[in-house]
Amino acid sequence: MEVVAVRAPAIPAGDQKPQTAASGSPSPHPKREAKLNRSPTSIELSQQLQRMAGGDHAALGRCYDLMGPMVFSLAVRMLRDRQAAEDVTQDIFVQVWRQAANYDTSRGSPEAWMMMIGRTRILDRLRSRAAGIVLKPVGDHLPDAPDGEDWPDDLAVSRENASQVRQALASLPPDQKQAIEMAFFDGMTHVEISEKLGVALGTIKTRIRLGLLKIRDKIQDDTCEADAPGHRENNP
Amino acid sequence: MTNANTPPNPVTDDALLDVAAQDALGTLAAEESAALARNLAQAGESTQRQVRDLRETVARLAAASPYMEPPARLRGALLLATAPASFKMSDYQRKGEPSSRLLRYGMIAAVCFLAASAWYNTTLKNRLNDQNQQLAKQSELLNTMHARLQSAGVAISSLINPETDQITLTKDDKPVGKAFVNNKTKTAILFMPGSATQSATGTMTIKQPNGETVAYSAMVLLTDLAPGSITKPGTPNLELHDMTIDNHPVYTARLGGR
Repeated sequence: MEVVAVRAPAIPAGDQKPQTAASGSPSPHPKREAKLNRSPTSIELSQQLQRMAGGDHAALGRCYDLMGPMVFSLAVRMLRDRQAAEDVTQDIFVQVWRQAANYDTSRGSPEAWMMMIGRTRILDRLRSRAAGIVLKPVGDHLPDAPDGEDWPDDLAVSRENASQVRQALASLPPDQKQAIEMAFFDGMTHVEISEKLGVALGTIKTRIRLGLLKIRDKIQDDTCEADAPGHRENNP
Repeated sequence: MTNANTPPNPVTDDALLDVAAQDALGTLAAEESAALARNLAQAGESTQRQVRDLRETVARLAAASPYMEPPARLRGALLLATAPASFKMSDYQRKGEPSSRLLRYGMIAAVCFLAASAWYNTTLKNRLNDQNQQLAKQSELLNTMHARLQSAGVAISSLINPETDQITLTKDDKPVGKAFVNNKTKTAILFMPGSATQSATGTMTIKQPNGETVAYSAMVLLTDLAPGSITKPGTPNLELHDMTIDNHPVYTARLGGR
């Protein structure tokens, strides 16, 4: 094995890599991971994107039905402004319509591709705002109970998915959870988070990376448990 | 992770994943994203898969937001903004919805519109009928007034004609009316009380003193004046015999002074 010089950031004690998949190692459930990206909704979204790439305008309507509420919810959460969220949601789907042909299935799920476009647009809007707007604390907008009950079941993200994500986020160590929330929901850069918290930039990067990988593992674990035969028998 | 089979990376896998996390969160500049893509191209499959995982995980984090129902108009606005030149509405109906909300409301609006139109038409038709009836009555009244004016004109011209003889109609030696007789034009205007007869026009025959019966074109006009009041002293009283109008005997009178 060839050894490469490593310039790793200093990791606080709380962020020491556990001997689990969240340490940046490959997923402990590679087969299950692939399954996550092949949900019926994901497959349908891929098909709709293909149709859109071929100029099928009606496919955009179906694509919006599956992903629109998720994009809109995130936009409201990040922008804290319904009107601005409506505007940016429309912009996002206009861009999806125009760039549908650019979607490459080998690079990830259609949900991830669309959310990447969505987050970029929302962040642009967030940063183009006039300075001086004070954002409310993150905690004010997170659901009290991580049960996902407020999500309908006919979207790309089902009620069960929402519940899994919320539970996974809630299960993180507080410093990782805080860093991820500031980056994801408030749109802050790693440097901004570092300055605001007074923590080294490298530490912030590590907290976010580890936190995201833990969330991934938690979701995969939950999905595997839900698919297990015993679980199905107990929870038909 | 690197191994003997992969070329050495200028950055570690963890550092690469740190940057990939930033990229997934959308906080990298365009040139930094491009640099990441170049580094990823040289990374092992395991690292590439983890980078994909990071993107998938970030995408799923959106579900941690409280659910917000987008307004219905947003979907329509999006489809309108991206619509091709022509499209079929049926293509855009939501899955599982046999009829769109728009169609439902449109149907209700159409029914309301038709009901309102029917009510309006009925009301308008009734008003037109009423107005037509009023117009017919007014037209009839105008015709009557025109006829009366014509009669009055004839009567006035008879009154002022110097060749007209004025005679008093009597019955049982009592005056019952006045007559203006023009022996040249053989016309006669009779003024009689409304209680004695009715307005009429026709032919009147007058027996002359020599026994000859002469036909006159006569018009009977009614007056509310008392019969005696139209008799003036000095007016020659002429009595008519066998006066008829349209062969219907009106009065039997004698021609000549009493």
